[in-house]
Amino acid sequence: MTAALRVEHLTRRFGGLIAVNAVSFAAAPQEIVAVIGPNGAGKTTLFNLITGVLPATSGDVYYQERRITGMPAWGVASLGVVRTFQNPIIFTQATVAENVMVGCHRWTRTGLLRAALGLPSAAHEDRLVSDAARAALDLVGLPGREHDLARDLPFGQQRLLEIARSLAARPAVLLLDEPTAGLSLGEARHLVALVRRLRTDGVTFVVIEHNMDVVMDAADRVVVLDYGEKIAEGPPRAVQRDPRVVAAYLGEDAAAPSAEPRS
Amino acid sequence: MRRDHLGLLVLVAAVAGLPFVVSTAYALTVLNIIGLYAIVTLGLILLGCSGQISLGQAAFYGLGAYTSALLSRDLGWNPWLAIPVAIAAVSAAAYLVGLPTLRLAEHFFVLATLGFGIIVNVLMLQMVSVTGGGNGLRDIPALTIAGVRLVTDRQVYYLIWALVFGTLVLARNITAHRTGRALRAILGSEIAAAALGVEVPRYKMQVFVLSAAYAALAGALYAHYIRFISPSPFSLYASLFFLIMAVVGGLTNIWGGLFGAAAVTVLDQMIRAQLPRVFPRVGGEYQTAIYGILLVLIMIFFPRGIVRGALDVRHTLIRPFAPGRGADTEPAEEGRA
Amino acid sequence: MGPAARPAHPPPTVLALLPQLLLTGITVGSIYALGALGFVLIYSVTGILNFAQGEFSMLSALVCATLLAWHLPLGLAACGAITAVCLVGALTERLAIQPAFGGAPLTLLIITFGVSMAFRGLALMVWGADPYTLPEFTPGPPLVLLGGVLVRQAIWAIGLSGAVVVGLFAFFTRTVPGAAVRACADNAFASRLVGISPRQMSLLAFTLSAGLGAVAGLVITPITGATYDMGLALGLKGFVAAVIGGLGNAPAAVVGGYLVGVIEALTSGYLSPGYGTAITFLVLLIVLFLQREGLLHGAQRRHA
Repeated sequence: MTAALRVEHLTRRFGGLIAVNAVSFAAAPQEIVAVIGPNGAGKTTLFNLITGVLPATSGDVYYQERRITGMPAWGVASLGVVRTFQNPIIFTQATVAENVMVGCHRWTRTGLLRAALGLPSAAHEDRLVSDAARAALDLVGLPGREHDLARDLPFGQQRLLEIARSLAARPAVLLLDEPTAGLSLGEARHLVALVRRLRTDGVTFVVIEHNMDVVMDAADRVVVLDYGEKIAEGPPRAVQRDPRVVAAYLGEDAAAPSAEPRS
Repeated sequence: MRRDHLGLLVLVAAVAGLPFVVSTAYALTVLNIIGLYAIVTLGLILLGCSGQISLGQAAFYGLGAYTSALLSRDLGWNPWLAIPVAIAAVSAAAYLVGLPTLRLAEHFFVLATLGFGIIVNVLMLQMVSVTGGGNGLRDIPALTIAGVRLVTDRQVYYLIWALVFGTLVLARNITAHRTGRALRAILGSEIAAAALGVEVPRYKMQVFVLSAAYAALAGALYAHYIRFISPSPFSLYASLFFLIMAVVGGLTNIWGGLFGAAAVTVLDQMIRAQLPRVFPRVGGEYQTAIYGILLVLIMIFFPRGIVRGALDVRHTLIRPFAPGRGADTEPAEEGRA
Repeated sequence: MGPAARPAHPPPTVLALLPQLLLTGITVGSIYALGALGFVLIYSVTGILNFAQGEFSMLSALVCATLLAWHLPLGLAACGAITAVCLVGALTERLAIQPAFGGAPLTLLIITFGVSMAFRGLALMVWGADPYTLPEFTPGPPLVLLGGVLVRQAIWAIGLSGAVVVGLFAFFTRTVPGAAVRACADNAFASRLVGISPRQMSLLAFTLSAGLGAVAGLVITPITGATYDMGLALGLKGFVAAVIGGLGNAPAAVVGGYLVGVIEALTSGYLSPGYGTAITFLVLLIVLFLQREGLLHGAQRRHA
């Protein structure tokens, strides 16, 4: 079985500081992998390394067993590995619909020449893209807001917008960075249901999460980072009881074998 | 889209008919200059659509002028051949300039274009054997159609404005569809755009080269129209002038390019005419004071251009509690986890 | 000794020019250093590149000339000019920068361009296009130093700018307001959390930078004269110096100023004066290109 996404001894150094230290894990196709760890553990840096935003000091990243280490961010995304950001980065000057339509970029083809000449294929593509955007907005629970300015949305809806945008890209692997932060309980539940449904449609998920309910509920497997290193990996229940994980979150004293971690 | 096409047709008709309404040589010259400036400004605005600002646009304008002038005057080329070759040459130069500069962050890109513009202008002045230095180049051949030399303002008018509309439509097409969305995504956030598969470096280079090509086209036309060029219309002041036109029209607004060029040129002519009456000292660069203040006021109150700004004001009046008017807010940053 | 022998005259060595050019370069460089410091100060505190920096020098020189024409003694005129320009700097910050605070950095960059154009035009209207001059601070014959000639005013230029730089560092490292400025430069967001107001720091930065520019203008004018358009070149070169120094690094900016001065003097001496500006900007471009900036490193700094 080939992994959808595989990370091997991925390391990132900033001068003397090692932000990510020889992390290895894999996500099987249609798996939901949660990446958890205390603040500063290197989770977002890990995402940055995988998606080519930050160059790795050493180690490799494989997408469908194809080495993508060192590819620029846009190259990684155009292969089908799409990510969202810890604080949603939306295009503030554009409408909601326009934001999502950008997501369709990787599977559409009108280039400078075709656009410049105003060929009918460009307009036709615009209609396809517009429909796809509407569908993505419906999917995440933001129907009917296409023409609002993206910056007028409240924070939670901006996060949903960002997710809709990444869904519009028809990703094979979707990396979500704290997707439920800032969402109401209902919105979060809706999102989890959506993730589950998309997984059965073929999308692989790697999700950074702090919300343990979501992790326990939705994740197939959990990877735990602390100070840039992977300290545990496994099914959610097992990781929850792992003393090293408890120690990382709550300190050494709390890591008594019978203690249930709170979060 | 329908409304767009209609507006364009009306404009074309108006422009076509104008020389019959205003036929003084002075008016036609001003209209021709507006046309040329509009093309340059369109280039700047295309660049602005991807979030870049250039303070060296006058350098490409000048390079287009000098290249076409030298090819036709010194090498005897037909201007109809010299112009496209000049555009191609300047585009190639822009590509080379773009390679190291486009990967710089915002501020630094602007400053690199500033530096480039100044260096080119100095070379124009210093390389006397090639460019004639401060005295410039005279006797640049005019364009001819079917044996008729295009020398009067009215003759050149139709050529210039046909090209204005051609470049306008081209720019409008590019900023529509997938390419326009990609450019605006880059404007919004390069990181987020790249995360969605937008090939940021390639798009940035494409619009940069295109904006230089636009400027070069205008410059080459200028050379064969005025038939005398010198380094002074291609200085840093000129680049700032073009920037003001783009700002007045709205840095990302294609139609604004035309409006900005027209408005600022007309304003400039009026100021040059009136100012000596108010300040009777030797005519100098007084208008820089006015332009400076204008620039500041526009960037504070109408950073998206006068037209959009007016619309924004109306938007605010209708929906007084809607957040966000005017200055862009910075996109949220990704933190560290 | 053959029939066509001539006495041999060795050609003047290139090196003979060197000391003079170096002295000139260091003199002018001390002015660029002040301008560079002004840039770095405003940039670190507010993230804005202030293109009106050079105009502060121009304004102080012209104001001082006017005050002298009103028969004020030099010391008083100089202080008056510096005060006036600091006021101008503060007003600029309040009227042109504050309203757009928090806007896109490019917006603010364009605004500072607008401000510099406005000052230039206003100066032209008020003072006209003729050059003005200020008397040397201590009149006397020029000094001969290390193979070159140095006018006394140059000593003032170098000395005073050095003193200002030292004074500024003392301010930053030993006073509370100075520490507040440094904190704001380091992390505006965190500074706000401890009660430092970024708006006040911005005002302070502009006022101080205006003062720096004012001193530079006063000290160089006895040597080079002052005209309404001297600000542009001064500002640009001070800016180049700041970038060479890395834009965030005050001591490096000072070094950059001297470097730019020397490069310019050497180029003007050995090539031609016209190329001086071009070479300076070429150096700027090279420095910009050599700064390897990745996507994240080039991302905007956090401002409150």
